[in-house]
Amino acid sequence: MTITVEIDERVKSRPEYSPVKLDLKQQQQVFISATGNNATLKRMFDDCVTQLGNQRVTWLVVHQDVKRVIAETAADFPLATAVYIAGTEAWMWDVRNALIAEDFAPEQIQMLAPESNARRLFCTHCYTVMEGVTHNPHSCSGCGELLLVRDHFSKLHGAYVGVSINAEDRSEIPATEALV
Amino acid sequence: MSMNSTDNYRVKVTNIVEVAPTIKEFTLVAQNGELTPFSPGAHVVVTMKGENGDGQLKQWKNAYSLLSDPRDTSAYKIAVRLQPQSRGGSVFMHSQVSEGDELEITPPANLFAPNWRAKKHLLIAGGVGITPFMSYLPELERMGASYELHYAFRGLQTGAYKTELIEQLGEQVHCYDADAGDRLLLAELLKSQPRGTHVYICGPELLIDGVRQNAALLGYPDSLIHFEEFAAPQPGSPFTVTLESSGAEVQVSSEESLLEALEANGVEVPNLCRGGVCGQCVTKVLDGDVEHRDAFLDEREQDTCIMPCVSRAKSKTLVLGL
Repeated sequence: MTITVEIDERVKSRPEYSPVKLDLKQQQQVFISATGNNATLKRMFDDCVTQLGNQRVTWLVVHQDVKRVIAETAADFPLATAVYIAGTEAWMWDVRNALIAEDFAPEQIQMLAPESNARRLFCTHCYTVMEGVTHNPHSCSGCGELLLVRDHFSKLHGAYVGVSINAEDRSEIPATEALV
Repeated sequence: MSMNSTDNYRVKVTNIVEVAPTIKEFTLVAQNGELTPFSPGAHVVVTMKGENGDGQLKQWKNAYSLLSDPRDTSAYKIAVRLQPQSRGGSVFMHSQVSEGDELEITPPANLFAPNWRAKKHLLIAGGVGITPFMSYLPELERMGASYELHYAFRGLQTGAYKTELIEQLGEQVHCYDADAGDRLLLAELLKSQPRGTHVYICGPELLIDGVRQNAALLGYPDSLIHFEEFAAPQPGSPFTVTLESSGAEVQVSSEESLLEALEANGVEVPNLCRGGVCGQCVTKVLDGDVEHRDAFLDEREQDTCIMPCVSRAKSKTLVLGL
């Protein structure tokens, strides 16, 4: 086949966040954030209310206990529901996974661009999960291993994978750089 | 005798039953090796060697869903609806095959498996489209899965297995005989399903389109809708193809598919479904216009490729990268 193959330098598992579009065909529109402060999400919500009225649009702020809150709330939403999520990357994936556990299909759920570059990091050596990691390398809070913060992403954990950066030569300490 | 998992089975037809006025069921027992268990929704491709209407030797290959219990390795069962307007495979099966005859089948392949994460399985069958679901039901029962079967047919022609299905499965089965005026109301049916329901459709194009359109209107996500349509290759104008490697020419008559014409000339092309869905037989087109009839290629791929199992030439000739 003469289909051009484009070599993609990106790590394939790293999520891409394309611009979110309102899917107004759906019966119920649900906007979820942890703070209620995301300006883009608020603008979309207002737009949606203008077009569809209050009844079909829900603004949901989930401060904590994502899994329980989503499980309790999701029961009220019809099959034809569109969900829009804003927040930090790891938190958005927690919400998404909670929705999927309640039988939402992945294509019903849209995530805005993450609010920061901070990552959840999963240590492959001791399985510790760390929140808000902004620099590479990162010292594991569980086993102390100096971790290379990879771009490899686990959808299930909403986390990036960390592996020892100097297993062969402990004296090698690479310069710290900000994650993008 | 040991076999590879990709080797074809030689099977003996041990039993033929008319299960509806236009549908015959064939029981197939392996003559070499042992049949493998399969997954619900799997099909085999049956090779039939016989004579066409003009008394010439001819080979047909048709895909048929397995309808026996997937864990029963003593025999496979298939059901064939007589389609006199088609290329002749079903006519051969109905008129030429007798108990005791041998056929050749591929090992099972599956393009229509259940999604086991579904909370509920909604099965919608039209006519002989009941066949893949016959292999779903024993497995759904064993797993204690939540399911409903909605089966539409024309009692004067189709409607195979309806009595035994109702007897064995009770109120999980809903039958609609169009000849008796029973209508399957798709919008009503789909509207009442809980979230987490996966929908499976097998039957004529009209039924599949009807379910998909109603589901889309109700906001069903696409990933919940599964369908299988073995579109038997439709006839068309004759044309000629040239093979790039050898320069050889192959004539495709109006009644045979391009894939069949290639095979009749000793050109083997990998294939699984022979119905334009699996993508195995994709072939490069170097010159000529194609009439695309498959459900596999996207628009960009259509510029350079053809699915020879169902698609034909729009122009008088094609040059293929074979």
